[in-house]
Amino acid sequence: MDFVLQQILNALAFGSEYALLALGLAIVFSIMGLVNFAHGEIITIGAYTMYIMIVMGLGSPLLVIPLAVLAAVLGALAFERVAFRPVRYAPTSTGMLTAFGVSILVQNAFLLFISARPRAVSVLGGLNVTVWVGPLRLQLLQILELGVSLVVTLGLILFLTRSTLGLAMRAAARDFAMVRLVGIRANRVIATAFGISGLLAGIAAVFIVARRGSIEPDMGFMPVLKAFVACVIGGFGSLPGAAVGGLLLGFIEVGILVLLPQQWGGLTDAIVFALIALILVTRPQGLMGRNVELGDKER
Amino acid sequence: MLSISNLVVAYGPVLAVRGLSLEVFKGEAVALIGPNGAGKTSTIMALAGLVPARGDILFDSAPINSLSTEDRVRLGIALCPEGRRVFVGLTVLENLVLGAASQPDRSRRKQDIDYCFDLFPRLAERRDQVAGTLSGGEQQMLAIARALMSRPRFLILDEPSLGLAPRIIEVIFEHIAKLKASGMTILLVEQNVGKALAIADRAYVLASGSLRATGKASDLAADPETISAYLGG
Ligand SMILES: Nc1ncnc2c1ncn2[C@@H]1O[C@H](COP(=O)(O)OP(=O)(O)OP(=O)(O)O)[C@@H](O)[C@H]1O
Ligand SMILES: [Mg+2]
Repeated sequence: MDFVLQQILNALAFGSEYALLALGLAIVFSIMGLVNFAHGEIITIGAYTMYIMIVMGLGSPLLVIPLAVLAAVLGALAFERVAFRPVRYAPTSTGMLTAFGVSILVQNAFLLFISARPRAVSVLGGLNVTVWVGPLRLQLLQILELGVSLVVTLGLILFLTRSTLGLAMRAAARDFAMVRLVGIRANRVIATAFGISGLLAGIAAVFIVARRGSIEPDMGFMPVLKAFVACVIGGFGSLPGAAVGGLLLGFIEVGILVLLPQQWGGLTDAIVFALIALILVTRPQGLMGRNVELGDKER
Repeated sequence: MLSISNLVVAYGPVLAVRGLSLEVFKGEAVALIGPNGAGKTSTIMALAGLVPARGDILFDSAPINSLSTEDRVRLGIALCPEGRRVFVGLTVLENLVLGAASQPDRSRRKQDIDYCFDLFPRLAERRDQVAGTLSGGEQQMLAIARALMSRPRFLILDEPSLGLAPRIIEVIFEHIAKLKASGMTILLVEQNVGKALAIADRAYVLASGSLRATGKASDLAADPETISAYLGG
């Protein structure tokens, strides 16, 4: 019983991290049709901010965490302003190549100016403690991860349903030109989308660094890949889909790890992707995607 | 109020509008009529700044060519586009709230929403209904109401009768007549020539991107030759 609960929490923690990242990808995609593969580098920016602060002697978690998140938001806004705005109305492939370009550039900047090798960041190590909740032995980090993700997702829902700008974002996902025709500035809507994606990635970065205890230039790659897969499962562009897809991916991964005999451990990713392929064969638009998004490729 | 001269709209090699000049004076209702593909929507989209165009567009005697779509809305130009394009995932009320997004003064929003609900009681009854589930006529009413929420001085309507039953078209045109009577300056694009000429003061007839006839709406309505030559009516 204990073990099962422990694994469920494990899956929820991983799943909510994927969900945060997938939501960030999805919110930008829903509005701009851009799959921002440089999303992983926003995580990296948050992570390296922590490292730089520690090197500068500002290593208190209370300082490091908010500033890392802030740096991620600013990084995302800068990506939009500098790299994506000039190609906003270009074909999708141009946007995608720009994203790859940004990704490579940022990775190499960290490689060049800091180091190609992993560096230890241990300020958040204190979160990796076990706590007892009644008879249950749980990881504090995982509880925090789940709790923070819930609060952030709730905040996002409130923003999207209660504020004018949030309503505009939802409207823009379907008809951007019409949103401009009521006088809402395109730049504002898009910058908000990037800002939100940066906020979510920054929060995820804090948890990722706490778990790894180290940073390296290409650390954003696996998370963004997972987020991408979560979006595909949920239906690309759908926000509820991204959240559900992320959680589901967490459960699939942990489930396979638990059920698979030890010596098959290396097959985890292969089985995960096979399962996802199976989902997509039956529901090509993803679990919550709209059919229209397939356009004339339908059937 | 609005003055267009030598407007050219091209999509790659396709010339949609070939040097159109058109004027709308304050308080006037002007109809822009013409067959499918004449370039009516292209003209309107150029006015709104959503397609690149050459030529001069003056609003209140000032050039607006280089202004963004958003800034043109702030000058008081509102567009109720072809195909209605209500925000389908949002409620009627939320659609109206977004319609007012260009208004810095939030306090007037409530009053403006009440005004729209007075004008279109059908919308008041459905204020919390998702716009995508409204009937075509109701969506058209919502699209007009949403445009009014920006407190425009100049209202552009692109084919408000498109795809609606005759009885509903009647209702929509009654509303347009009311708006005109309240002093609104209107540019009305229509394929329903009879209705458009009945409501407008003046009209422009466009075919293949060029101006074919213009004059008082009543004169054009009494000129069956022009009508049948360009509009097949
Ligand atoms: N985005 C576009 N890309 C290429 N060609 C276009 C585009 N939009 C319009 N056209 C072409 O420009 C011409 C004028 O189209 P427009 O939509 O302005 O006509 P319209 O008068 O509004 O017609 P309708 O009454 O059918 O709405 C047409 O030949 C059309 O095919
Ligand atoms: Mg048209």
